[in-house]
Amino acid sequence: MTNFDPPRTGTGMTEGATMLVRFAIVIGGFIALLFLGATAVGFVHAVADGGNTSARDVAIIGGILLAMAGILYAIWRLWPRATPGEAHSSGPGEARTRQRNRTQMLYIGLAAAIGGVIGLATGFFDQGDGNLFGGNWEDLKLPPLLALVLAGLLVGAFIVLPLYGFRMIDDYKREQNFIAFTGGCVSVLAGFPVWAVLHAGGFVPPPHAFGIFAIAYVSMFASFIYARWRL
Amino acid sequence: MKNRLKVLRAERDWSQAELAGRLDVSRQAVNAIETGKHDPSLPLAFRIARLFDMRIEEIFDDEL
Repeated sequence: MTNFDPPRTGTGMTEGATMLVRFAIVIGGFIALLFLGATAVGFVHAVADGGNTSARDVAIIGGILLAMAGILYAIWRLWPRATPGEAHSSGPGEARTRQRNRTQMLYIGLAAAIGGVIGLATGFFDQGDGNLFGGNWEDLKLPPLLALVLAGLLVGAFIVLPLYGFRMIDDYKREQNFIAFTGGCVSVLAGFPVWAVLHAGGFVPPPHAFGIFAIAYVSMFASFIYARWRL
Repeated sequence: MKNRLKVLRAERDWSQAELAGRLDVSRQAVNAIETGKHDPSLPLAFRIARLFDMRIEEIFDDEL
């Protein structure tokens, strides 16, 4: 998780750049929401066809809705809000800060675009009955070439972009992100054996790959929120 | 750790964004340092000291 925050007051951008950012946010947000919405609807249909709803199904639907809420919150936070006379404030430091924010916006847009492409591609070209985030990804069938392309995009989105982002952010934000990554990591280290033991005791279904992924992601997000609140 | 960053910034009539740009950090980092929520790294402390043409201990003090 890489924290790219917009300025809290004003955009620090020209009017044209502000419009461009708004346009990018609308497009990226629309694609992301469309993907998650389609995923949620498809999963609900699959669950309804199956007849019985398990706790895991409810958790997955809840997670998707939570992700959609997160996207809406991100749109609200990232939306440039200009105040009169502020766009052309001077100073070499403010110019560098504006450039820094523009670069960060670019990376946010790139990450959103990659996510949207992955979601739309898996949705449109899935040849089986699978769902990348629905738990039944074993049934997901994609053309081999597309699968390679998507794998490359996923590597970029989950490894290259975050690691490169770490080089761009300062100590303060790096500390927040370290806390977030640590939270996600220890949650998986503890989460899997705890889940397995609880399953052995008959309390929960067996550990599931997507469940472990979800634990990591949700824990990372929660840790990041905690770090933002505390630091 | 307490510091005089906010006072020094105000003396020069700089915004947090201006100071952040001059230090090559985020505005949030400047805010966190000013409010004492975050202690800067040694390299950043040196950059701050050089920017204000002061010694580090003249800006940061753990006994203030």
